[in-house]
Amino acid sequence: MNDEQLIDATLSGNREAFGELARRYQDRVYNLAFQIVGNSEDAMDVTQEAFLQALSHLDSFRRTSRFYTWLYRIAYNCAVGCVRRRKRAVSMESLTDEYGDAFVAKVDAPDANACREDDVAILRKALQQLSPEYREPLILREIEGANYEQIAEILGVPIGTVRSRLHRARATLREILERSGVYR
Amino acid sequence: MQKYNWEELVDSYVDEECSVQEKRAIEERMLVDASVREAIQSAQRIRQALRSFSCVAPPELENRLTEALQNAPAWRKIERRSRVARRSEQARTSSFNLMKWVPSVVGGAVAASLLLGFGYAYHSLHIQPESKQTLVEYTPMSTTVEVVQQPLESPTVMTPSPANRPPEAAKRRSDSDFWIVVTLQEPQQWRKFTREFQNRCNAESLAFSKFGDGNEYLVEQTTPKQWAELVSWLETLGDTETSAALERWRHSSSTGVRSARVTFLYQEEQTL
Repeated sequence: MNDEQLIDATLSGNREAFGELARRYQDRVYNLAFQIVGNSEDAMDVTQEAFLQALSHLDSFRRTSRFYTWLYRIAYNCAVGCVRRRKRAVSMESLTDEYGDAFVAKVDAPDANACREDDVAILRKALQQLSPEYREPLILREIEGANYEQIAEILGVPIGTVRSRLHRARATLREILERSGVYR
Repeated sequence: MQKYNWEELVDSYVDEECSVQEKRAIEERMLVDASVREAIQSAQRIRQALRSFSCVAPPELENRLTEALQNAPAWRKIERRSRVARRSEQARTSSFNLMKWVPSVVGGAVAASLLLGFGYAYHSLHIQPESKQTLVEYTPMSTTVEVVQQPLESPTVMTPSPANRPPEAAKRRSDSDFWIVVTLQEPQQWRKFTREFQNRCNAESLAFSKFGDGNEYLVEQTTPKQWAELVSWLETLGDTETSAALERWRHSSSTGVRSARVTFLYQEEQTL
């Protein structure tokens, strides 16, 4: 069944149908949540909250966009809300510790474009140094593969804003990485 | 010759979001401008590195989600609506089936009346006076329908307020008990979401008045069902706070209408 059919089945009271929707997208929602909140426990809380909200508001989903884009917006709001409620900066040390179980950083084969493991760790820290308004579109674009239109829909900003924030995010990351000696 | 912002075009090129013309322009530029080449290579390296950040969800997430979703309170509302929809469909189907038989029933009734009339006329011509029957007149019972008029709430006049005022101030300012405050995550969302809100009200034929900088709206003469759907959608935009009166109203089965105020606020970004 496609997403539309599962949504229709859910609205008819079929609990298994929404369970199938959740299984389809739980990993991606968790991934997004983790990138924003920075730890596994909060990411699971956010993922659960996002799906519960999606279920609760499913009757208001207009189907003018893909279900995943709509779900993503809910998950994004939940994650940002979680960070604000927490009201504390995620320390670089705690990020490194908690990455152990949940994060798998693939190391590319050594070639001109390869990243060494410590370079990946530096990049990870550099990403966290970005302000949320620049980090989030970058995460959506590079890790989730969303296009500009989807990013604009999810974040609720114009496409022009997405372009400029992505540009600023990359420029800032480049500066940080050049200072760290990762990219010369 | 068109002038390009090469810095921004680099990002669009890397993201494959530029036009054919722009792509050709930047590929030509790369041949002569080393800084453009470096910027593209750098962006591609960052991309490759970030894409290595694959995040594996813990195995317990699936069970946790399954349990939470199975027991979600939202199912009560969904199942109730589904039952109502099924009953309405059944009633509609029954009416349709009944309507299919109406021509036959009417035709039969007309035929029967004609026969009766013919029979009566025939009988009248041949009956004895003492056996003449009297037709009983049938008077249908009249029914009265009690119409309950819900008092319409007179709209309140609001004073304009700038966005980013704390929710408590927004609530205190009006006499109305019917309000919802939506706090968006950042200022940039405000313009887009308020526009979406207006479009949605227009699509649903909901009358509204706009106040201030367009962050406050009075949505007028709206039924509980319309409010329930509107509030449900507003809750997907950000954190919401709803007055107890509006919360009760949108879940009620009243046939009246209400006006309520919708206020959009946003949080200031905090740079790390």
